[in-house]
Amino acid sequence: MNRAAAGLLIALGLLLILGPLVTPYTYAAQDRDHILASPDADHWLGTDALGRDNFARFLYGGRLSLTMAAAASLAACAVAAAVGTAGALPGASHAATAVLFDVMLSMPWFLLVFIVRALLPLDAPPLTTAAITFAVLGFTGWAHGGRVLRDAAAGMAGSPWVRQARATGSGGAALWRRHIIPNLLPLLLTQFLLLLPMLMLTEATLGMLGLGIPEPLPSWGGSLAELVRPDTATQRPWTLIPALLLALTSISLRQLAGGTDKREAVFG
Amino acid sequence: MKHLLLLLPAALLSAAELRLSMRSDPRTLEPLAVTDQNSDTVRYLTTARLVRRHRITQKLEPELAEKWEVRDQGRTLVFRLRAGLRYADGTPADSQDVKTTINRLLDTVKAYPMAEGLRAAGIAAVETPSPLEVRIRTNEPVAGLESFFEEVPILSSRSPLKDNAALGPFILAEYKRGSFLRFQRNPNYFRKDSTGRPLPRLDAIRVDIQANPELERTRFEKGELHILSALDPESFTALQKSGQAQDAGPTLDGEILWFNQFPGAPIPEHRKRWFRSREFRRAISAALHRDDLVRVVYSGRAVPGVGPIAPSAREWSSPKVRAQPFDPKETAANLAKAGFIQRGGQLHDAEGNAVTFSLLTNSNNRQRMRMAAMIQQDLEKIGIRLQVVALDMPALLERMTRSSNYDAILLGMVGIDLDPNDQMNIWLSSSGSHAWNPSQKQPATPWEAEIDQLLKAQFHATSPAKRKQALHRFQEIVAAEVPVLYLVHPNALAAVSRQLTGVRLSSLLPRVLWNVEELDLAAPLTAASQ
Repeated sequence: MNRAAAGLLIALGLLLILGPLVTPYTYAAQDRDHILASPDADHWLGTDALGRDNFARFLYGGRLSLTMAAAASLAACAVAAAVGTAGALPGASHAATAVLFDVMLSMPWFLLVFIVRALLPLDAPPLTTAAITFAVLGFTGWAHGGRVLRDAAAGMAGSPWVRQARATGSGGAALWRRHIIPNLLPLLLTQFLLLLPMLMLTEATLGMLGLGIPEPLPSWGGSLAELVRPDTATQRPWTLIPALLLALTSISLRQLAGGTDKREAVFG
Repeated sequence: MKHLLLLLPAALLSAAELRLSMRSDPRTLEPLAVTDQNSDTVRYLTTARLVRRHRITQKLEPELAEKWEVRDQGRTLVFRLRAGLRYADGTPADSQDVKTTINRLLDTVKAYPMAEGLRAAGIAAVETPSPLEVRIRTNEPVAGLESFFEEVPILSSRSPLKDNAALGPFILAEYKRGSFLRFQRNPNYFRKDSTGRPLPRLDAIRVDIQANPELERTRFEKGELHILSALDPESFTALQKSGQAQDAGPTLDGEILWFNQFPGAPIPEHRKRWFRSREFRRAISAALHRDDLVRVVYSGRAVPGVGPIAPSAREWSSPKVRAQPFDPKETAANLAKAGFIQRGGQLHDAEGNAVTFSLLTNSNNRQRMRMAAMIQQDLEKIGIRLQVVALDMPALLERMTRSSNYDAILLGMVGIDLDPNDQMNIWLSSSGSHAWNPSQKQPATPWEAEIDQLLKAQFHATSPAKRKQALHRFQEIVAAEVPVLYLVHPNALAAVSRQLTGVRLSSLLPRVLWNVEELDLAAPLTAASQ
């Protein structure tokens, strides 16, 4: 299963990187005489309601959604690692970090996205708006991973093999640097792989509300907005492709995350 | 199924209950305080007015008043009421109720928004020489004063039920907030059909609160709802095959775009200069493909935007004013005249500032989002970089009405009343609703001063011809100065069940329900759809 998931993600990545070389269309160009066209030799996935090429928008949208979600996940994991390990350090207040995690996990952060979007300068370029939106999503997504890392780090600190390391003279920062932090990396990778699809799906939700990546930039989330109508999927089934790929990407990433989790469990 | 049918009470099976839905709860059930469409629907069903606008002929017709007369060169309006009027609880309705209602409406403390027109008219006295006669005197002549009364619900001054005493065709029998409203037939309703049979024909109306338009449509297709009164073009096209979709033609509504001209707005000064430039506004207007907006966004179910008085308001719209066509030459000429130049595919003003600005719109309106994307592409062709910003409605309104922190806004304007006096609050320069530059102490421009003067003159004009002349000039000024770009006037699209009879869909609100007393169901809902 892991191989299939990895293969699918690699194939998707190649398609997103190389795809724009094979389509002559840009994501923004409107052909108003060919709106909602069915797939044909010119438009492989048909056109949208403004006559824009769905395939081009799918490729650029996928690049944008995946890249931004990956960057935001990476940033969120860095924060999770920093706060998580700091919370497990000797002398750190377990209660204080627990409160911090509880606060972060209890707040209605979706509202923060609305507020930040409302406060952004109106002339912010679409790419900047998209980056800030993902940054906010990343900021709101680190706490769960942070708690997992804190618990794992605290567990490792009291484990027999760490006690053995201490007995052999390893201690302080060196113990953390050589023994604990390297062993947290698989867990961090798992958190990254879990967070990535979560952010992509959150952006998709925002896109369906019209608050995702701004026009004319495409995103997979934005293309899902077309599917709100019950008859779209039956009359123009090709519009389901971004939704299916979003789901497959999400499943593959979770599958890989499960794989790393198992390896980590075997190791631990 | 047979068992289910047997279990249902006989009354339920025989009662003609019309079912429809609203997207949200009515904001108020207080008839004089109505400001939203849903509350207006409740008011329309449960109250009656002195006169009513026939939504097909667009003429005023008698309602509680069987006739009316203008005297003293437009300073006195006399209503003659029907005899034998009674509220649903049996309390008689007469001229005293009319007087009390008008006096309540003019209460300066409550400052009901719907009374703005009447207050401006300067009501000097309301007299009741007999139970069936009401005389309304004004300080100055007021054109079409009777039109102001087509929205004023006549409330009881004596019923123990107070404002809840229904004089309209239905009584509000049950209301579960967030769920449904149920109306029952008013047995004392004054109208009768041509055969003398009492109206309304329906026994009851159930209005479900249904926020999701997709679910609303699904319920209509399953036969659980009889009416969808606000269809978007996509749903209309989908329902056309079933033969239940109806198009009543262009509404009074307008999809509009305006630039921020407020001097205190926290936006760069050079942008304010662009937005204050008539040539700039005209250039933008001529750069837009309104025909494409109609064709692509509305599937042809709209007409290109003309101006503040939509062509469907036949009595008042100026034949000289037409929709601005796409005209690249006019755009180029206006931009050159205002000192703008193209450099490397980007438009710059005379001081070298690149022309780029943002367009705000509300995120939950798909048609508007598409229009914004099309406008973005149209302007890109003349070297203008437009940032489309979709915000949730509260955030947009905050920028529009409080901080004035925006460049341009794309929104819709709902036309409620055929009479142009309904728009006075938008066009008078002193008004807080004068969107592009509100609450001016003195008119900021000569043309705004002229509009103020024309609108006030038509308000007090005694002859319809003079009034029309002033209103035509007003429309010409708006077309020349373009403070607001009218993009499209959408059609009134509705879906009506084949079961429903007596429907005469109008482009004017409340569209299907305007003759609700004449509607009937050919057969009751089946048990399967209960």
